[in-house]
Amino acid sequence: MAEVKRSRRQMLVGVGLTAAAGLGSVALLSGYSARLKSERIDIQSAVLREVNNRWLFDCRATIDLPARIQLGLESGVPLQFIVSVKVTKPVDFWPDDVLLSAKRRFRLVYYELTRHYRVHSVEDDKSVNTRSLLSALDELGSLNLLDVTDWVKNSTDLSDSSIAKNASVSIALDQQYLPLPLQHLFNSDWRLASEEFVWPLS
Amino acid sequence: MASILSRRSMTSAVWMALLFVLLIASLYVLGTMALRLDRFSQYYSFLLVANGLALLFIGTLIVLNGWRLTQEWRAQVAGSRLTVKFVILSVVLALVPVLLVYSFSVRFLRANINSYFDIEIEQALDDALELSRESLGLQMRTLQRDTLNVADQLVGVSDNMAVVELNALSADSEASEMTLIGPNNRIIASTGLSDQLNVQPVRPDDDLVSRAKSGIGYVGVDPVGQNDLYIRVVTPVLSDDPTQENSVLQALYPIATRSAKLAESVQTSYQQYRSLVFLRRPITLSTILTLSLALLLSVMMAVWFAFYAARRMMSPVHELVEGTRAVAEGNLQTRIYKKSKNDELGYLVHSFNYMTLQLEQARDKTQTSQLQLESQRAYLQAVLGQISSGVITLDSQQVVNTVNAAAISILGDELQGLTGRKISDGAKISNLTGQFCDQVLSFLESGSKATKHKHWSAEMDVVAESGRRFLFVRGAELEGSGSEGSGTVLVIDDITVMISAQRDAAWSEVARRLAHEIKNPLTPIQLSAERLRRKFSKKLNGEDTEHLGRLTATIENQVDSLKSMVNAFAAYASTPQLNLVKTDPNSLLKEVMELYEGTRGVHIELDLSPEVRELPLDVPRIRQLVHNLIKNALESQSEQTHPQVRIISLERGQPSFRELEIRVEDQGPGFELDNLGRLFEPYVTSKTKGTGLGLAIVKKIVEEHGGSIKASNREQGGAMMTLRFPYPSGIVVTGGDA
Repeated sequence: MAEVKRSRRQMLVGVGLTAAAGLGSVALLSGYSARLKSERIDIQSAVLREVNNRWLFDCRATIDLPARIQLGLESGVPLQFIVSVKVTKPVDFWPDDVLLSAKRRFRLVYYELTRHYRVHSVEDDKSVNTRSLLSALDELGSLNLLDVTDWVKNSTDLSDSSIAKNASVSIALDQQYLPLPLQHLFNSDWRLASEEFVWPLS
Repeated sequence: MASILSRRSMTSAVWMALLFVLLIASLYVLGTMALRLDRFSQYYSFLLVANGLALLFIGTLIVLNGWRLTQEWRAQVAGSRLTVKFVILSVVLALVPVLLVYSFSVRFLRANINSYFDIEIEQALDDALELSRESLGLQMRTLQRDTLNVADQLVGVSDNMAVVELNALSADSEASEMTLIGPNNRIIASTGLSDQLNVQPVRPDDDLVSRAKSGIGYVGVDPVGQNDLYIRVVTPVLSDDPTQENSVLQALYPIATRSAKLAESVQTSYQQYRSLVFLRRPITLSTILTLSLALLLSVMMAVWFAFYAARRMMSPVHELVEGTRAVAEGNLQTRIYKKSKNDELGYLVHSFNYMTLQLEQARDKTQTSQLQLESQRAYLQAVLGQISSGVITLDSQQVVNTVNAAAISILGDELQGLTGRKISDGAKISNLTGQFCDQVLSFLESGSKATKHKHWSAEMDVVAESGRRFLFVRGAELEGSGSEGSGTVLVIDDITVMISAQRDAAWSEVARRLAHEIKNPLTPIQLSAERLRRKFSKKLNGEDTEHLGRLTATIENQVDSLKSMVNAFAAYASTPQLNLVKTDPNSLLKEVMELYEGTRGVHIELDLSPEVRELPLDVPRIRQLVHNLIKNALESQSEQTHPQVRIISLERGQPSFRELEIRVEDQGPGFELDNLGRLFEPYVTSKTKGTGLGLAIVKKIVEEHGGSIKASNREQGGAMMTLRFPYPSGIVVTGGDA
């Protein structure tokens, strides 16, 4: 009977240690991942306004691609940036109420034959071609009149100017869109994201 | 319990096998994903983490197993060393081929992936791309020339006429759209013949416009709209007025569909290849990572299985060793559960169980026999302890095995020290034991062997502190399996008292006869002597009369002496009826002592215990007894100027048996040891005077009262007589005859 107890105890200890090690690893990875986040996208301004019952979003950001990503882009690796816009209503002692949550995707591709870059809005299916990377990044960082009405969850509260709201926007390179070998957990070269830009929305 | 263990072990093995299969499957999927560059594998990271956690779990189990095995090794648990060796051997056996395969696999993998990227293919793709560019370049140069012609024709055309003129010119060209931008950067005129273009004219980039204004034209293949390729030509339209800036003409020419498809195909292939080249290292690393995970999984599973198999295989061995230890410690009830039935270990376990069963039965039988033997021995000891004869047993080497209480009583407490030693060592124990052992030994070595009798008997005498003692010893050789037999048993009877009693009886008879035969003629002799003196004294004269008087006086004196002697014999031989009267012994002793007061030079000391109670005594005879003892004590100190006698009385003994003890001590020379045993026999005396019946009569009186007497020498010098008279048990004597 003692042998059974010892074997069971050993199994439980194994599971416990593994769980602890797993949690520790996740925590370490999270910390490591956060530390690896390269903040080379700087959002300078953002505006969300309602025009004719449509919610339009303007944003100005500077995107600085690291050399490794530039090389990948010029080698044919397509990049996809995700612009996340969110409007929340603070709730006491509870998670904030999300009034709007939009994700817009923009792809940046380089064509060797014509030596130009293309910025393509996935949701709008519109493209802009530029002959330089700087122009392409400038195009990517200049979002004008971006319609996010379809992502509104609570238009009443969103339109109510008496309710205090917080709007936030962040731009990040979509890791899932990258080719699989570049998605590795510790591949820090391909981590690119901005800090969350938050402003009060009245 | 063992079945539970076995079932649990099997369950864990099944779970581990399932986990192993799952991990292998997930690694297969990972490997497949790593080699494909499409983007469906959104679970790649999840699978990678899950595999890592599973490996971590197995690693933890291995570490725990290793730690447990180390602990067992340090604690020297049975079977742990064998388990360690088995585990190490298994791991080495698994590790060597796996590492070999791994190294070759990595090498082949690298070589295989590198083979994808052939230099010739890369060069061919570069050339194809360049060829496409050249082909487009030829078209671009032709179209640039056409556009320059159109621009020349637009020189000097007013803004109002520009639309008409541009339409006319574009109709003759292949341009799908022509746009004229004025000096103020406004579009002056635009014409579009293709439906593919937007309604709004496609405006060239500002830098192209600026460069064109300054006289630098541009021609290139640009994508316009979604995926369509156009040849864009931007050229200046020179102004007539030197003060005014030049206008700019942009013409867009569609590329032929076939050429566009080919160019796009070349570009797509080129980009895919470049992308692969760029991802070559990450792909290699990914694949090696997956391969490493598979290797790690294989190794860890091998290690875990080595632990599992070692424990499972070593379990019967461990239990056998533990069982052997238990048996060695005396636990013969140890049984081992037989897990495997038909293999060698199963046979070994079966044999072990059969052996322990046999041992247990044999031990039970032995214990039963031993208990019976102990019982018989105890019974024999009890019997020997109860008999009055002393019994000593010797083994074949003449070593004393047993000595019973009676033998110790006869030969002294020192005899116990002879147990376990040879009988020839008797002299080392004590003088008395030595005397006995020497006689027995000489008889054993010469007497019995000479006669070859297995049973013999002999009378032996030894001199003890209490005097000479007579022993009747019978010996018998015990039957044994050896030629010399298994030993000898000696039965000893102390016949000193019996011999003394026989002598006493003989002396009593002699005394009675002497008294009877001698006393009768003494009176006639005395009367005759008186008559002779009276009759012949008158007839004789002078010296004859005197001579006759002396002779008759002599006869009368001798007759008186004979009468005294005969009376003494009569007193010794007589057995008068005791007249027991409850008497205070201390008063009686004081009364006798008073008779000696005033005797010059004699000092008699009385040490009488006040606790001494009355007891029934024949006062005259006890008085005679005390007289005799005092008289003897004084006579033994006749050569001393101040003879001293000390009389002690006390009560002694257990509450159930109380005795009066009277001791008479003197400071004389003491008794001779040779006579000590026969001191109370008639005519045994060291004095020159007296009848030699004093102590014999004393002993007779003591024995008539049911008491005992003992003569001994004091350690500080002098003799001591010890008399003991028992108090009647349970009877309170109030007076009168007892």
